[in-house]
Amino acid sequence: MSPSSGTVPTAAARSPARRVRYGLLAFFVPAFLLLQVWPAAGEPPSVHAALGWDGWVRFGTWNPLTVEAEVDRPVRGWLVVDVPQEFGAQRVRLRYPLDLPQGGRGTWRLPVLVVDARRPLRVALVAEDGGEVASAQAVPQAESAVASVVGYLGQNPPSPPTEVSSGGRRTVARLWEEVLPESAAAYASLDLLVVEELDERRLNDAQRHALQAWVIHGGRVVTSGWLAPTAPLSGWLSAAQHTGRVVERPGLGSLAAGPLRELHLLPGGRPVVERSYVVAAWAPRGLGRVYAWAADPQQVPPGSPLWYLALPPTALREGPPEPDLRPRAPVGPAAVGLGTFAALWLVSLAVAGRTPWGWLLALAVLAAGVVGMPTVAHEVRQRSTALDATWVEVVADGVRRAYGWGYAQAPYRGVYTHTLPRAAAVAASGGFSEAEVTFLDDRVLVRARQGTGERLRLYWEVEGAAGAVPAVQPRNGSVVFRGPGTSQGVVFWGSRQAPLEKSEGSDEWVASRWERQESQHPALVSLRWVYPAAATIVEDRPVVALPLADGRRGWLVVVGQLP
Amino acid sequence: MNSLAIVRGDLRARLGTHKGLAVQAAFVAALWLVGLLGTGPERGGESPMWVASVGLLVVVVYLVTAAAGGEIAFPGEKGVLDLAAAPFSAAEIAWGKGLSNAAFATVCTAGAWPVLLFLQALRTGPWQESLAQAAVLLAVSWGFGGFATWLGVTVESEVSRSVLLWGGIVVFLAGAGLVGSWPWHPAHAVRPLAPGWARATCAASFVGLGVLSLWAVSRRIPRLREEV
Repeated sequence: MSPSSGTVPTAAARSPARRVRYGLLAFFVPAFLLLQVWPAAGEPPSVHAALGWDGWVRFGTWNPLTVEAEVDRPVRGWLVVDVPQEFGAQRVRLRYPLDLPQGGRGTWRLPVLVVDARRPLRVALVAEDGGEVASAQAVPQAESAVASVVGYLGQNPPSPPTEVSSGGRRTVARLWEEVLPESAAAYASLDLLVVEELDERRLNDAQRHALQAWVIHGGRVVTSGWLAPTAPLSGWLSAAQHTGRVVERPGLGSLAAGPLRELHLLPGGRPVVERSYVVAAWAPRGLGRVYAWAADPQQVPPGSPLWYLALPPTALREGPPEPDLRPRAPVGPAAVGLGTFAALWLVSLAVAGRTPWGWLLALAVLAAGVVGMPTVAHEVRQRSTALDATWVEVVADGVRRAYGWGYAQAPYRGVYTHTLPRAAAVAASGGFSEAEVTFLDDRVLVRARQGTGERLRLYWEVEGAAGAVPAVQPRNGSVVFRGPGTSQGVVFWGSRQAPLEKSEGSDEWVASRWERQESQHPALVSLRWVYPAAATIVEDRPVVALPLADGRRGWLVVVGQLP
Repeated sequence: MNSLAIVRGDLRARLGTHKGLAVQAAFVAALWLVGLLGTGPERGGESPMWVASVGLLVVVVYLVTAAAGGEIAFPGEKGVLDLAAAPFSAAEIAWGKGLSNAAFATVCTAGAWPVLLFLQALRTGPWQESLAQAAVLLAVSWGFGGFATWLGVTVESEVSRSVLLWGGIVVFLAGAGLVGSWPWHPAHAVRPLAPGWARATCAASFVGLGVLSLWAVSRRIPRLREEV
């Protein structure tokens, strides 16, 4: 081996290598600088939308919509969601206020009523001046529509029964904490939530409250695995704790063979026993239930009674019957508006007939009439289409949810505005070409463009409405109630009902004169609009029904505890 | 200038006198009532709006025509026969009466326009639509006013004049349904969403009727002077 062929390169040999190094340097240095500068320029505004539970949706009810947006400049305006309708000509637009700083990111978890599988749902960021900043589409697939969805937080999805008793198929949607809704309404499309892992730090307050409100108002949750018992939500969702002891069990009807965790029932918890094994526990949470399974969900076969115990019975919800609305001629405000102009016009003509300067007055009156008449007409239109609203407000475990149905018939073609309280979810259906629902901090505005005689139907849900929380307590065969607005109150319990009567010397109301229950009592009928299984509810526990006393038509229903 | 003096005198008599004000009060009351009738909800494709529009046309046409033909006698108002006895030329009298009718028709139409605007706004119609309707009101009432002025100087018998005038107007307006749907007929042209060409034809026709009538008036005045 010659030295020249060793490790010391000659000048001629060094030259190509140096060129390569310089070439690499020339490429990487600008690329590095570009990468340094690029983030400063900011990502272009973007928006992403995900509909349903891991893509699964149930048509005809509320589904969660998660929207994530990022902007490169301050954007103040609206998050706009265009929801396709069953009839293609119709359009429902939801608008939520939006205020993002430069480089800001925002996440919205919204309930959306999905009724059309053929057209995409469109989400857009719209600035105050009407300019669209970014947009995206979420396309619901017909094959992703199911009759029942079981949500699952964990690693290994379980296998619930795939057939729904009322028809259709059931699926499991694998979820993450981040996609859980921020309103209880969005859980309407979820039959059951199976929680095997839950990191509460990844939930915000709205998500926690929504989950609890859903359960309290009829939702069902199964917990398994090792949830942190000291974490507030995990503890609340648990009907039992694992003691840490595990026993081997043979195959049971409810569980496949394998290890069985020993459960320690928490207060209110009730065991589910099979062949002397405690296979599960359950506890009521308001109108809902939480279950704790003694085995991993994957060990619960599809035919297990545990699934049928946890899954809620399927029932179709029907709202109140449509009122027999007739378009009203808004004579009163029209008479005042037209009469004011007529009187002023007459006075101005009287002045004009005597002095030429009076014609200036006549011109001023005419101008005022021309300018003011559209305002008068708007007022008349609004008064002619007052929303015929019916409410059912349910209080369970101190958590209040209100449900409202409104009907309005348009006497004339045009745009009508209706004001609703601050609702979490609003759905519009019936006769209209466009409906725009604007969610403001203190109220919701619904603007519907309707043809003559068309009937608009609105349905909305209000969560956590303010107000004193009433209390219902059974006592010695009677029921004691403390709360506002108790005149004409009725208590239902079992197959009986009793009027609420004022207790002497205290602020309590007592129901003790029991009589046979009227199954068609208006309060029970109203409760069935919200809970089809209302008969079961009043069978188990006392339920106080009071006519709403604040000018609204409907019932306040206070659900007592299970005895 | 004499023509303007005739206009001033007529307007003063029709608006500045007690009777003039009473007539105007009845007129605006009629507008108010028709406006209220127009607020009725639409049922079965029939809109009270067009009934109200035709009603306003009838009210405005009636008042302008009655005032022009002397059917409503305002104290101090000089008719064509009175003016023929004054040292005004026939053209000045005809111009004066034409302008007087136009001014009064404008006043009456101006009172009806906000009502039309209200009815349009109630149904989210454009304001230009009410303006077009008002233009039809103005033209038709002025045309009938000119016709009434001509009848006033042509037919001596008051009874015959009234029968001819109101009979003719009623037959013309109410006969719209009998002769078929002529879009340019006032009862059709004044309706909401009538075609623009129909309104233009209608307005031009009645402006022509007014001009023709006033030309006939100016031709009639020398004979009147000879008869006197």
